[in-house]
Amino acid sequence: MRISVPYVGHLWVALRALAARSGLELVEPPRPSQHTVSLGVRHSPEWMCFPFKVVLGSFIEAIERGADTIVMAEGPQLCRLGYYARLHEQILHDLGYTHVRVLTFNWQEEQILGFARFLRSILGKERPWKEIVGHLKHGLEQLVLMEDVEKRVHYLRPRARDWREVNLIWQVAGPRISAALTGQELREVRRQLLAELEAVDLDPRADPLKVGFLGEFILVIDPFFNLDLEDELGRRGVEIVRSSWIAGWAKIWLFMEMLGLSHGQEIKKAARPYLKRDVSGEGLQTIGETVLHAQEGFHGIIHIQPFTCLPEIMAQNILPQVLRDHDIPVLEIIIDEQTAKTGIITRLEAFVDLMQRRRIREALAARRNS
Amino acid sequence: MRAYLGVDVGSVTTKLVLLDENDQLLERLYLRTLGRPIEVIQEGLAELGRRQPQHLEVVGVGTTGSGRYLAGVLVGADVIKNEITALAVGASQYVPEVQTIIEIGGQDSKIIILRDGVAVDFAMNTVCAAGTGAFLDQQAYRLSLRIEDFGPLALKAKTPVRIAGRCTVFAESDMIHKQQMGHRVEDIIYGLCQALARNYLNNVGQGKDLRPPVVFLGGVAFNQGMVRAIQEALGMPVIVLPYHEVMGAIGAAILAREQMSLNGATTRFRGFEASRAACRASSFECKACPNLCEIVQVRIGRKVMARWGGRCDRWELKEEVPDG
Amino acid sequence: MIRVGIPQALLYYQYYPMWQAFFQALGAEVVVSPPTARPTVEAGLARMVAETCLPVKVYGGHVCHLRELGVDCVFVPAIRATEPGLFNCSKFLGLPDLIRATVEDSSPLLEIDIDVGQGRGALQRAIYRLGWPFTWNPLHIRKAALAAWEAHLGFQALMRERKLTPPEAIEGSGGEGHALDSRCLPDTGSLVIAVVGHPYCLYDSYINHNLLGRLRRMGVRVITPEMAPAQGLEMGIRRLARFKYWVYEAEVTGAAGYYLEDPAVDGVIAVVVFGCGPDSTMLDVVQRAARRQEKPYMGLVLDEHTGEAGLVTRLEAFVDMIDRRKSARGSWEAGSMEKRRECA
Repeated sequence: MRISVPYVGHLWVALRALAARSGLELVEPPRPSQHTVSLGVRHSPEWMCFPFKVVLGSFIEAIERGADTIVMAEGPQLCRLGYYARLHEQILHDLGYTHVRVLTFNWQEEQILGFARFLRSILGKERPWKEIVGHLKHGLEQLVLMEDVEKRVHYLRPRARDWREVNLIWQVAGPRISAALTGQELREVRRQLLAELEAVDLDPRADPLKVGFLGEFILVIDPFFNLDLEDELGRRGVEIVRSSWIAGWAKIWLFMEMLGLSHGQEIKKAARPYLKRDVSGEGLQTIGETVLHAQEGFHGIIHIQPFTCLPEIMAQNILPQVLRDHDIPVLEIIIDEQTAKTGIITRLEAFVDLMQRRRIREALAARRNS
Repeated sequence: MRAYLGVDVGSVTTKLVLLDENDQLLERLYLRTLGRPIEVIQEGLAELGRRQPQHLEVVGVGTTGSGRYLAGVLVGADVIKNEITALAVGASQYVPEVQTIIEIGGQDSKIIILRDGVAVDFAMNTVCAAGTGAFLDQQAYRLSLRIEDFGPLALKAKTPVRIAGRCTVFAESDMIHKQQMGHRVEDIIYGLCQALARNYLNNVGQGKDLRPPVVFLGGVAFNQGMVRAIQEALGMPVIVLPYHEVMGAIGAAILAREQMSLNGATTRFRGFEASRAACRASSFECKACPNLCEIVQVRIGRKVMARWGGRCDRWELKEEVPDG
Repeated sequence: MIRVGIPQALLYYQYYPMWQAFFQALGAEVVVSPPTARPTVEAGLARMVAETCLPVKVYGGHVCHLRELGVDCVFVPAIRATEPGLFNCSKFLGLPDLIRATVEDSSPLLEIDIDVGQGRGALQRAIYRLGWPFTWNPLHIRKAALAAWEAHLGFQALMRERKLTPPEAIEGSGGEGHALDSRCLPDTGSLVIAVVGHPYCLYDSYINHNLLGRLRRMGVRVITPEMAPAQGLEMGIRRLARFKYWVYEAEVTGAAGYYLEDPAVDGVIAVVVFGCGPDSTMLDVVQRAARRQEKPYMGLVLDEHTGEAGLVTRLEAFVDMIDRRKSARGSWEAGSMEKRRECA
């Protein structure tokens, strides 16, 4: 079996190590590119979510590199995501890749134990449980480290004298974390990366804007999908705060929601006056996070979503009510295969200007009143 | 000599043809509709009448295109058929083994799949102009190019530029941006052709089993840049037939011939003199219900020949035009 | 008497007799908005984000209209699951919240969450909560619920046995539907075309430009998902998609799977809406199945910009295509073309 998994977020940082540690034959698809998008769009239903199309393109590229098995999530109540695997399978078979198997895993029902079982079934039943748990633990720790570094990067980029210094560290973080195959190596990498980040030269006068970056999960966590917006914002003096993280998601889906996720409950409570029910995807979170960020004094919200994303359309319709009660500017960014980055950057720059001017105006007004 | 008249009234161009009994082309006209369908049809009819020898007898008339009902009333049609059927019939005449017909017209685009000479599947895109001829015209104008020069210039491209193809407005902004960055015109316009070809295949061609021989019809087939772009995108050779731009009208005339030989009735053709008939269209808003439909009424002389535009049948005439 | 408004949109076509029976049994007067017309659509378009699918916008327009009719409240259910494990589109999941946020001047909403996945007890409690404004007597509410269920089963049976569409069946049972425009109801010797899709796409003659009426006028016998046996639809889903995912999958994937196999059906038209998430997945599955089956198939995608001319052209082309294919196969006499022309 030569397995491929979608290239989403930092998943492959952990997967490369898994392959090296366990001997599993994983085929890494190339980083998504315009070519991936063209491939996927060609064979996808017209108004299917953008992530579906890119993942399909990615699978085709992986198959061309020798993969014969695809692993995908499946299961009810995952918005359209739960339907992906079935469609992908049909499309790939119709394209002639009839030798390809699609293995699916039902997150909601199986959770962490189920995932461990799933992993064991792929690696082979003779592998001891201790090994399986070890792999899982290591993978999760790598993802957690990756995201701890990323959070730090979000903090440092707008404050550094030269954001390029931060980006240099960030660019090699993935490969270095991937290369750490034992717990000890990982701890060493953590120590080094955090030290390097602390050593970045900061501008003491920096006073970044604080912005909530929220919306559909895959677009929030993956720089290809969000057109590297986090980097673009950091360079323009904006600190990004996110609530969607793969390790965080892993905690929700692989463990139970009760474990240390009061933040999830807090978000639901904040959303209640406007949206009482879960509408799948991140719809409820978008509303709740916007309320919380407004209360926390953030300067703005960037709401990013794929074209025709159902839960986010619900959020778009409900946000105006929220904004009537909470004065915070929101920039809606809708992405699909036709989106040109230039247009988005123009809007982004205008939005950053808008937030800066608001801040100045509020400061002046406060000074006048005191 | 007996002949059959075919009229294809599209939103951008109007085509008229005369075929003989063996479906051979006698005359063809390719005119710009320019928003005046009634005048263009009459002008076309008059011109054909002028060109015809006295002994020519029109024994069957077929109309097609978005203005097929209007033309049918004006000219006196025996068969009024949609463009898909007409194109399939027309193209099969010239390429009997054709499997795929690609048509990119002024304001819409179509794809037709044929097997064993019969259409088995089709798709149309009437939503957006970003995949159609009108858009190319617009860009040629903006770049001060004649549309006839567009094709040859596009073929000179060395490194085509990628243009965002979502819609005409966005594509145009993107093209302007690329020009301002210094890209060469030929690279930009070939990039545009590629965007159109991509759009076409992703929308209209989505999910279709495309097999050769592929025939490329419609006015846009004059544009060699588009022909190459479509070929590249398809990965198959593409046949551009002579008379590709009037194939719909040819198909309509063939359908008229089929129909007339089937039932041996006399033609409803109103004669080439119909080009002189006082034909007027007028419209009014119906106030009978909240829908407020806009009703269009066509009169020849004093007689109301047809009405369209209503959601219910309150305004439709009792005597209906044949639909073959 | 409390006046309860029910919008003639979305799930009206599936559940109206049920809801009508429930509220009437509780002593309320049920008021239905009139069929969709241009002002309805415009009212909806003005209030919702453009990406929102058309049927939901139309629903918003109907809620607006109900306020003008002077109702005391509008019934807006949130249908989350009709079977355990199924999933409904986000718009249905949060419909009451959506209406509250976009139609701010609507009458108060009467909400209920229907989630069969939460168990019988939760469902019963939800129904009792729905009945509170009308009576405190739980037995009375229970009786109303049972009457509602009876009405629902009767409605489904009526459509299946008498081959009626929902508006026709509602009209017959004293409801407020409007019969389809059909100048000619052929039922012998004509082409048989199955139309599949959500009821709010198939039976709203405004948004689909009187699709069924036009087909009938062309001399086509139209059959619908509601006319198929329930097991047939389930099998259709299993055949095409392995397992059921969407709450409203039966009427698209299921019906397509069923009618594509039916030799008596000459062609299948799937009517879906641009921007409908579930439809984007189902349409692809159906399209692939149709290709494998080699049955004439056409997907019609509607939105608020759908031009009538384009729709008419496609319908004509489709019917022509099936006709010509049949003649090419020699199984259709030339006289049939005459028969159809007479009808028009």
